[in-house]
Amino acid sequence: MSDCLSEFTYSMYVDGELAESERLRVQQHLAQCAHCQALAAALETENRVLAEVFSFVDEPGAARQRVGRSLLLTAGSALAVAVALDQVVAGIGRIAPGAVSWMNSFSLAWFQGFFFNNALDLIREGPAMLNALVTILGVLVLGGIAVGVLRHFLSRHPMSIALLAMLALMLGVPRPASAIESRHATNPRVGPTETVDQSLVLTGDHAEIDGTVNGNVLSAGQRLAVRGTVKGDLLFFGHELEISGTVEGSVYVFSGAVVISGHVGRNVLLWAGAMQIDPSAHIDGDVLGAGGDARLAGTVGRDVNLSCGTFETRGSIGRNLQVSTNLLTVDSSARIAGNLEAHVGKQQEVEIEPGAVIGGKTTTILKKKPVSHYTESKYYFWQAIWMAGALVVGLLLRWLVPGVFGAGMDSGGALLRSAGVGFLALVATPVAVIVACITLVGIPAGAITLVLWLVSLLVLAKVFAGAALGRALLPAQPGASPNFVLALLAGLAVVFVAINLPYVGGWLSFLIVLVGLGLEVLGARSSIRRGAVTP
Amino acid sequence: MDEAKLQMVLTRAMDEDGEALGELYRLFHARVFGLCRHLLGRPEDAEDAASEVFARLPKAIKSYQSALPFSRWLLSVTSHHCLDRLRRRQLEQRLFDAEPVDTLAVTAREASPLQQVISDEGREKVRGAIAALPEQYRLPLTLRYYSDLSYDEIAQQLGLSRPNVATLIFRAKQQLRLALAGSAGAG
Repeated sequence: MSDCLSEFTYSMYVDGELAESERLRVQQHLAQCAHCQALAAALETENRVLAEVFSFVDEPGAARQRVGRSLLLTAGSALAVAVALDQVVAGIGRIAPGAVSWMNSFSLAWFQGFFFNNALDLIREGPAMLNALVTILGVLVLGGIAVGVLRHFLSRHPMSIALLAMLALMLGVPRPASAIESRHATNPRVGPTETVDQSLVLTGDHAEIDGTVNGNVLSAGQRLAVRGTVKGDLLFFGHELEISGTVEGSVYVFSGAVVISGHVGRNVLLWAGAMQIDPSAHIDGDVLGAGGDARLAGTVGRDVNLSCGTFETRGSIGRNLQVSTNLLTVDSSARIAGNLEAHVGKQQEVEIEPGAVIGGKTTTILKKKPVSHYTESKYYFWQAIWMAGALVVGLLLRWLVPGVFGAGMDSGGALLRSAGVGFLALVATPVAVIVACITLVGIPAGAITLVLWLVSLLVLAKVFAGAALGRALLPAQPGASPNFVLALLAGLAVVFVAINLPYVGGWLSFLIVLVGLGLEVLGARSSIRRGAVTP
Repeated sequence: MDEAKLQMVLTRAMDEDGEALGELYRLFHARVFGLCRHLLGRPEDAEDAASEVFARLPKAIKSYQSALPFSRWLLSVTSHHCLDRLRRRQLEQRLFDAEPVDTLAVTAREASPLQQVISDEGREKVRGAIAALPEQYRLPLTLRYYSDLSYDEIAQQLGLSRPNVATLIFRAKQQLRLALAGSAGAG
């Protein structure tokens, strides 16, 4: 029929939004037109369906429950993996005792290898890196201000811009020039006839000191050979240290290999992969440290106190020898004026050849097998105390700032976002603190931030992670939010179990702290914003 | 909860009685959250927004007059809050493009998929389609079928003209039908 009205009109009609005259007109038409009647009826049904669909809302807990369930699954598998690994390693340990040590990440040899290969490059570039880092930071901050100003032209956050401006100003302050002589080159040298009248910093690949340094020497590089004389102390960090000349002070070294055939006036403190003291060497003071393999053929004036893989001596030790090792060999030409105290795993690991002279007592102490702390009840006691403390902190925070434990675990995406924010907070904060402390004015603020950061890492992050986890795991009752205390307790329990798992515990702890830190930052931000907006 | 009891709770809540406020939370949190969810689109924002509404309730409730039913007033406060959030989210962008008002002369349509939704799965699909609507359609649709507001009230809340609201709701439903028809065979 020609006077059928538009669907739009019928839509407004079934919504009850037509003016009285229009409504009557529609009613009249509908009485006569079956086709439009059907249309209107369809539209009415549609409205009903819409109303119904809208009224069934996903309870806030449901999304979290899904995340909670998948987290439980992950935690369960992690636990299974950890237990399995533990059994496997124990099995290997029974069959081939030596093989297990390399699997333990903290065995000395593995640690040194890893450390030297990676850290050396970092340290070598050290001074240049710090300069570059501060420059980059300055550029980033200035860039950040520019972007921030542009983007937040009508910004509600004048405080953050003021803070950024302050930081930029601080970076503009010139840093004090260095007061020591430093030489950076591929092969820095102090020539045979050269005398350096101040302390010296040497960095490079192959450093050589043939002349005289009337001060301390601080060196980092692949190799350092001291053939000349150093009047003060020597600090070295690198791969190889060779002292055939004289160091009148002490030698502090962290190196892959140390060979001493010259004279050291005071002590030698070392951490070395391999240590060799030649027959011509003379160390007037003590030798202390840790290492891989140590061989002593020279003379040590006082004590030798080492912790190393193997130790062999045919030299002369002025006082006591105390060593913790896996194999101790005292050759026939060795001389120990004082006592010998050996800490070994088994009695057979001590070999004292006939002819060796030991002035004092010889004591062999068998090292106890480290007891897994999982079997000690003392451990669980302290974990319970820790957890109770975290619970109290969480409740206190909740009471003081109710909104700070907001959402954050509602979806995988939110979780990732929290982890991302946490990573930023983890990495950026110490850098910001360093920058603040470079100028003396910023030290108080920097110190406070550092303390806050440390406290967050140690305690707060876990509290936030526990709270979010707990709320995700606890079943949501219709119409009410889950009891916070219970949720926090449950979440913290899971967190503490997770971080104490063998092998995977460290990684889980890192992840938990990341997410927790992110939640903390996000919660703080939304609390501040809420407080700033007037209701 | 009957009217008289609710009145009592409201009176105590206006005196900032913690227990009364907690009772209001228990009663209305789901509705408030639902509205936030539909208006804001993102679940984590919705939770945040809902908590903010209740966080401000102790002060805000003092301006409540019993002329309006409390649930409607609360939902109105909630939608204002959500709209504020949305505006903040889109700093420079305007929520609604200025649209010319035109009545659409569309021929009669067949029974749409929206007629057949009964199953949970079907509802889920429809909810998904609603959440996927652009804000200019989703907001008026939500205010109409969730909060039961009249076109005039919606127009006032969104700062639009009444004919504009009518058109947007109509187009929203058309969009929904399209989306649902495209995505499935049987509802």
